[in-house]
Amino acid sequence: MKKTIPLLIALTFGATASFANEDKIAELQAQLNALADYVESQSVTPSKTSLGGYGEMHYNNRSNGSNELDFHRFILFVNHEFSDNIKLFSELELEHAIAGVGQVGAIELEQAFLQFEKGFGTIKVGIFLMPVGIVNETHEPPTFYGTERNPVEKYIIPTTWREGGVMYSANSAGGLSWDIAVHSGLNTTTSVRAGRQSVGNAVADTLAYTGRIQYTGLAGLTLSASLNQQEDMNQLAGGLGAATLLEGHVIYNIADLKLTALFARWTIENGQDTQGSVLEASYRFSPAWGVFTRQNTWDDTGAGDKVQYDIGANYWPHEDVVLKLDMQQQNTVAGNQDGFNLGVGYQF
Amino acid sequence: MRVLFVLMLLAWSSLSHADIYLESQVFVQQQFSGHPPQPQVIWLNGELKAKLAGVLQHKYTGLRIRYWQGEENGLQTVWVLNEIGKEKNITVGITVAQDSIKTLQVLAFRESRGWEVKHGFFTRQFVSMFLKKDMQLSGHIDGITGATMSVRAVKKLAKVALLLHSEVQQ
Repeated sequence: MKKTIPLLIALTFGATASFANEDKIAELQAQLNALADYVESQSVTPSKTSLGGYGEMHYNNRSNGSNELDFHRFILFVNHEFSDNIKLFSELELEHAIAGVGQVGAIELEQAFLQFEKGFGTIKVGIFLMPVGIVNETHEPPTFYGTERNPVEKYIIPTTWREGGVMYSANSAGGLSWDIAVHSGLNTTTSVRAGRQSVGNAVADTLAYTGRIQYTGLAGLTLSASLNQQEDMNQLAGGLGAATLLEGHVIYNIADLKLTALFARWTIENGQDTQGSVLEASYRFSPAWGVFTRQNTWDDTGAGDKVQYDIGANYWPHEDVVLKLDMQQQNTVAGNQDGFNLGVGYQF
Repeated sequence: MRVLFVLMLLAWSSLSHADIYLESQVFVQQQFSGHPPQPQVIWLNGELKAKLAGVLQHKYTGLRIRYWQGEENGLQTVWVLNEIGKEKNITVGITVAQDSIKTLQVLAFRESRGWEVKHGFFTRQFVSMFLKKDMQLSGHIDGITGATMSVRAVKKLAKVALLLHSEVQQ
């Protein structure tokens, strides 16, 4: 009994001290978390203005053509969030490294639009990229194979194609999306590509309309179809009349294998119809390496089918940096420009 | 055509904005049958920050990451994480149980492109995936054309959740 009493007293004091320690630890933890909350609130406040960009330099070595080293594109994005549902997106481009009178390059406003977001979709107002084809909207160098963009989208669609106007976009839970736009039209007496007015004092006597419907509801699959209607290809000044572009493409990923098919056709009321197709297969061996082969067939002049075969590889030393090597072979109609291309590109 | 477009604009203007598909706290409640536990935090030491930087390909600037842990499905952890796709944060809720992903859901998407990652046909691919020793996901995630950077951001967050789950279990 004499030994039991001191033991009970010691246990009582010990338990009290333990509870006191737990309270103290909990209090310190709360203070530490409050301090961390403050530090993090000071350090991670996001800016409403963001900067991004991409660029690419190419070396072309081809027979029946010039050998060139060209810093083809240097682009800066400056975007701003006015509010949760009103945002500005802009893209300023320097093409071919130097611009000015008599120089080969140009400074161009490739995109500058306000985006208004609602639960049922978004509205873009300003200069935006046409929702047509694959690379017209997504053309950062690390996202595609081949040093140069494929000639079908370049000469037929024609990428990069932007217009000024209004576009409405929406999507459904099943993976279906659609875009519809009213915008400035082409103005040309020659090729479709030459008719892009780049929204610089663009003649707007007639309008043009674009619609796209796209399905991505199955993992790895993209089905897309676009229609562009020009009220008058020469803005009532020439004789080409109305024109319609139909474009469709399918992309299917089977694990690391990617298969792509694209077809585009312009029907011009009083002019030469043009069309082209792309077939591409690529394989991503690892996050760093991928290879591809591509067949491009197009007729943009009425002189017959131009054909170009490409084969090459991409190496990504970083997910946003790419080195490219590809070889190309053309038929006689396309100019027999056989050779190889080297490229380096980045995005951020 | 012009009339149709005007009608669509009017329909659009009458509806409210939402780029938040599900509030974070609602996601957490759903993962614990409406009764979430108190949140806990994992403090990021130098070694763990280095691992996170390896997955994210950039430094993680926070001091700690909040999570919820409960007895559901053995022992599950729930994470609400952010990563920039192209320019803006994508918020993703991820539940991990038995070292593999049980649920992955895009809670908020703020980019101008790449919204397809919010849909179930994409996020369902992550279910049951675990983290291999080389810090890669155990299976292939099919990409979405035009949404490359958003897909990449969600894949990174899936890896981060699996990594952090293994850390808090140790």
